[in-house]
Amino acid sequence: MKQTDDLSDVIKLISDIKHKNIQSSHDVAIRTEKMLDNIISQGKWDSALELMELIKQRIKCFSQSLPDEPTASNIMKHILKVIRTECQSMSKKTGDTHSLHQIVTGDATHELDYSETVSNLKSVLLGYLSEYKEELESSAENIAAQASEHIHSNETILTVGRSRTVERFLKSASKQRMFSVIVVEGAPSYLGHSMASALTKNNIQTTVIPDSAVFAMMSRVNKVIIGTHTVLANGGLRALSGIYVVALAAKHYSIPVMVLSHMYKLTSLYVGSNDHETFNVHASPASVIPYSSGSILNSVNIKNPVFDYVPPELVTLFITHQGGNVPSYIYRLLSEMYHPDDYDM
Amino acid sequence: MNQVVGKHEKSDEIPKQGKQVKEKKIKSKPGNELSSNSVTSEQAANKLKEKELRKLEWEKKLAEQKLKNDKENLSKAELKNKRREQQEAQRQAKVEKEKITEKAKSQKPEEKNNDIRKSPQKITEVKKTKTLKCVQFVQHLYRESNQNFISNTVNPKDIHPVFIKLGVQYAERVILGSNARCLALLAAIQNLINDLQTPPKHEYCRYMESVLQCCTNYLQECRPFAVSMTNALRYFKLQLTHMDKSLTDNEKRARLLDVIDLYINNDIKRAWDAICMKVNDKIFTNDVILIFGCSSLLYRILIDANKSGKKFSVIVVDSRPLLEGREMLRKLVSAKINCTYVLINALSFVMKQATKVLLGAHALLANGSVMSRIGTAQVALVAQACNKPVLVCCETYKFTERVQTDSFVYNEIGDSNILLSVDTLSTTSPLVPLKDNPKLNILNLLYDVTPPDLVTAVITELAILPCTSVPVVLRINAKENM
Amino acid sequence: MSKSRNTVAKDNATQAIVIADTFEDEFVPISNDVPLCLFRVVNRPLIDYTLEFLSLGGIEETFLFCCNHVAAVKAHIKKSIDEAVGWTLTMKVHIIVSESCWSFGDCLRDLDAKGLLRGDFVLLEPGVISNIQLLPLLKKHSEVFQLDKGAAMTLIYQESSIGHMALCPQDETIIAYNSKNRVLFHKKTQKTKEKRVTFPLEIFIENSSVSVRHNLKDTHIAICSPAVLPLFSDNFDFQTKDDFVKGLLINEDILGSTIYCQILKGSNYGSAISNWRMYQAVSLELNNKWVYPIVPTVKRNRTLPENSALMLQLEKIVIGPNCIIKKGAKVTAGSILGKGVVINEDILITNVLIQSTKSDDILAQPIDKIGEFAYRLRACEDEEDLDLDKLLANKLSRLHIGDDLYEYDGDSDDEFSDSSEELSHTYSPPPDDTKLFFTEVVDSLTRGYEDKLLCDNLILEVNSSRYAYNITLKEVNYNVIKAILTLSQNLPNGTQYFPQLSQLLSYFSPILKNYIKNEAAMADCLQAIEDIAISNTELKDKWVIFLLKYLYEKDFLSEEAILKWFSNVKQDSKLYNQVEPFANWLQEAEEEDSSDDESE
Repeated sequence: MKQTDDLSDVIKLISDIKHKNIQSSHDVAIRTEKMLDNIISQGKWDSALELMELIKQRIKCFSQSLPDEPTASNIMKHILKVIRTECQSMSKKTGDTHSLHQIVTGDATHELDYSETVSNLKSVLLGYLSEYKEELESSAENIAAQASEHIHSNETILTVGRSRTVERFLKSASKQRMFSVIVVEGAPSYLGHSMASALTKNNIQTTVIPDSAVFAMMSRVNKVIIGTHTVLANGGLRALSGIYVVALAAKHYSIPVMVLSHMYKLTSLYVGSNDHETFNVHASPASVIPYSSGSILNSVNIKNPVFDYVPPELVTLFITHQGGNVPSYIYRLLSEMYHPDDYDM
Repeated sequence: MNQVVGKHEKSDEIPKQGKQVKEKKIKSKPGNELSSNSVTSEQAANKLKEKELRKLEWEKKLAEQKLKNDKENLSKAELKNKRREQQEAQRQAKVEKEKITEKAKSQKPEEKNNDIRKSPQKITEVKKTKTLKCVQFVQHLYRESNQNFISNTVNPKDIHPVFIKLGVQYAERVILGSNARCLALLAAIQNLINDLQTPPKHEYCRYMESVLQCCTNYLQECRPFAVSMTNALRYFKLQLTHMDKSLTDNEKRARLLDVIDLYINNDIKRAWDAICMKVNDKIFTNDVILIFGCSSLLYRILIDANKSGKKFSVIVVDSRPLLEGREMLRKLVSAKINCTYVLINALSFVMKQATKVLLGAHALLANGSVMSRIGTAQVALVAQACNKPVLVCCETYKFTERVQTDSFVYNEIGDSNILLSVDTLSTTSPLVPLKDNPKLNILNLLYDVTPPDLVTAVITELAILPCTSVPVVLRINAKENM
Repeated sequence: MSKSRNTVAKDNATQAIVIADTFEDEFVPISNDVPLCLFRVVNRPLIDYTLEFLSLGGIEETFLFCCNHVAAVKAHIKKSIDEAVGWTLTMKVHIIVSESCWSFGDCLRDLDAKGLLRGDFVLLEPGVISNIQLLPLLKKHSEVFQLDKGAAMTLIYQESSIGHMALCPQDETIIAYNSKNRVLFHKKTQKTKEKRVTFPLEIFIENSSVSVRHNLKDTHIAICSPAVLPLFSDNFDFQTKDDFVKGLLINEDILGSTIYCQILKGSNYGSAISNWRMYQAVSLELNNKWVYPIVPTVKRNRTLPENSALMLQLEKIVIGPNCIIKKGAKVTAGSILGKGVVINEDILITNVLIQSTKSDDILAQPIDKIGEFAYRLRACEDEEDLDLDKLLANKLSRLHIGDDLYEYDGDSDDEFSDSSEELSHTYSPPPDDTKLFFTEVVDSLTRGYEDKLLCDNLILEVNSSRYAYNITLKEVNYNVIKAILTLSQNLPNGTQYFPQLSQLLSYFSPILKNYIKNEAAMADCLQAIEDIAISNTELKDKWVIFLLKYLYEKDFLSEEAILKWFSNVKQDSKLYNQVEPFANWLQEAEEEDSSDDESE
């Protein structure tokens, strides 16, 4: 809209993420919520349309600088949807009821006029935001609380890399049950090592295996529990590279794969392959082969993709703070979270 | 078989003197397995009451037998419970042993060293560079002993020095790969044939057999035999027993040497050439061939194909902890073959570009499963999911009658410390300080078993076959050898 | 605007110095139009990478030291701030302008005088691209400083290996350091032609453990204590960082300062674009994500025409904005196209780097011309393939550089010497002191020749006179050569004259080597010869031609320089007649050469 200056809040957020001042997606979510709170309470807007424009600008800015960090954009999109529904319900309140004729003929041209000034929109939205914040803060606990429903005594759980949600989930389960965990180390990021050290310190029987041993170990595993970077619109995953093999091996042995995810990881993105350029990110080849390997580096093509695409048919269950859902239900959650107009930005 | 589980570590890496570990010897009946799971010292072992040990072993044996006998009858969960009991027993044993180790700690380390030197049956050279450290147990695993090449059952005097050297080379992974190991073994036997002098009243072949038995026992303890080695050895022994007794020693020597040369030429080298030719027919210009790890046979195949002028590129998939693929990469790059290099996590990323998957094998089992370096099954799995043909290249001398359906029936466990050292990170792994935590296991399996349905075809020197033809080939080979 | 609001200058802000200009002429003539820091590297100005690196590395205040093209740099920085580019939020950038600085050392002396730096700081030589975290390194440096108050500088090296494309032969270094990472020995191996390296015995006696390494790549990043700037001010002969390191190591006791080093491993990466080879290597490495998370900007969701041959290998190709690829042209994997490149019909481009340049050089060969303003710059692939390197050099030279052959020729003809006295030869007011300087130089040289002093010391003397009289490099070159030639006139005439002359010249050859380093210096040298020859009629006829031949054969002068100079000599002069046969011979030789073999 007006000044580019106003974007400084989102730029600050971007630079904090880039500087690794904020690392976990949960922290990003909290920060985004705070930012939205600020915009709504102090931003220069009079109508819902203007407010939506403000937020859309930020989404655009964010997704341009950090296309691989979906959390913030997702939350902002969610708020857009909330604004829309609030406006709708308010306009209904003011007496603008749909006539039967309109409903029958399906008059699609009937659009709400968002540019009207709505007096109490601000307070309603702020109220919603504070609710949402509470939800954010409790969602990790809610997920962890479901642990005992999914992990039974003497089970062997396999997990990959490091996910804070999974870590909490397993810790919470360990309070009630005895089980052991196999952690795949997840070369070349080796996040599995820190996961294993965290679990060991919590007195959970932990076994670390290299990525190559996944298939061999899978025959002895009862459940695969993983976190993910993003849940895609078709119920597939964008997750740490190496997870595809894990899911595939689990499928081979018919072992359930559970994905723990916060709602804000749900994205309206459809991608069906992991070598698509909008999908993947390539990290430094230095973690695959050391820079000191010398002259062979001049002529070898080294790949270090960060993400894997896991198709929905390999996922058994999503566990969110609302409970478990199958991948085919994701479309429904998606439409609850976002307005169809905001899918593509 | 006397099996002691342990792993080696360079002595200077041992952090605490109390944990300075000696080899542990437990007398037990052949076929009895003992998974020991704690850090012990010689003192500790000595102090451990024989009774306790016996009891422990008995329990374990019992559990194992039960496992074996009731395998079909037991449900998975029950099996698990059994194992858990077993683990529990091991855990208890460990606690006890640790108590004893505590006591041992108070004694001077020099004393221990003296003890080692005094014990006459030890190979001191080896002792200097290596000490034993027991690995934590891993649940539900039948464990083969590994790397215990300091043996009390074998008198070094009976062993030809070539074999002692070979044993160390096997154990230290200087000689790696089933082909290389087999060739080294055959070379060592040739050495033995030349050097062996028959004592009076002995028949050369009989004496040879007994000496060889001694040597191979020792080698077995250094590292279990690869299937290729077992097969080669069996063939040699067969020739040994069928040797014409009327010949002079020198004639026998010459014949035996010929037998080995013939074996190397026909069963190994010719086989390579034949396989190279067969695979070459399947490689076309613009192919993208995905290979996994380092294999001498695959290297030959690719170099041959490159020499014949075909333009193709290779994707080298590698996996920790051995990272053998780097060696392969280096060789291929110096042959000017266009290469891509990824770790196994990026497998699905590169699989789409590949047109064929070529794999090497450690052994082909009678049920059609392919036993190969860990990770191979995964490569085959992803290849199948992407509808890429998986060709396993394997000489028939690596076929075995053994049957195995998963990777745990028979396997080897490598040094877990190498999993902790990462050469591409600037920081050390957070697991290093937790290495001795009983809750943490680090498992480094060496082999896995690829089920036959993931393999499109096996390329052998005889023909390109489906996996299921293994028993047929075995039968034919057995007939020929008769 | 946003900058002033968001960044509050703190007293203890971590600071960095970026020297924007290289004071050598590697990039001439392109750098005549565009400053190095605005060179486009994979379609983004070099300085953007540097600043992003500093900001991500944790630096809060940066001094950008600019000597040339100041307006362009300022405009660029201002633009970045206005657009609120990532780094502007957490880092303040001050541009310091000083057109009077002619070397790296001068810049630091200038900064010392300004007194802007408060504590330990990061010092970047021109063209650095890196992804390392600087704060841990700064911390380590201050820890070292706690133990050793003399610790002046921590040099940052990256583990690499010989044969690596980005380990440029001129940067090949041998260093020895002890268990505390203190540098004991430092030598650039390529600058001398010596095949062997001599280590002082003391370093092995005095230290219980010494690591000697030859596989390190200089990242051109250094962590400095505040003492570094005064050290530069006190020692005016420190012109480069290498001088500094060398000086400190030699005079450790006198200066009481020590140098440490840190060796980067893992995914830490650091390089500096210091010549065309590095430009190429760094471009490719950037493109291959070695500097992750600093990556070239990628526009996603590009639209391409149907049936485009590019489609297949798009992920491996970089195409800059406003590129035009005409019909039938093929671009294969590994190529980088710069901004605004136009590729003509039916041209095959494999694994090359193409940048559009402003100078549409007539010398360019039609084969290398790919389109308007676009020329080929081949990627050198293998270390075995030295020819390719030469090829690249040749092509480049034909394009824009005249002849900078030696830059690529890692193994031979390297005429750089240690104390790089080279300054930019732009302009300078004619000082009155030049005469005084000349006589002083003649005195020094005469004395030196008589007493057989070491030439290195003579160079030092000359340099100190130079600073005393404030003489530009151009004049130094001219006067030193003139002085040597003047000495030659004092030699006894007769049959022994020429042998004695060559003896004299070979004695002074280190000095010649030190001063005649580039095209411009050659021109100065030839000017001096010309002046002497014209002013002094008593000289033998053969004098000039002998001198030229000698200098040519010893590689002090290049044939291009001689021919260029000769073309400006008056046709009817005596000198012209004297030199003509030699020039003709050169001309023929060159023609033969170039018709013979392109890559020389």
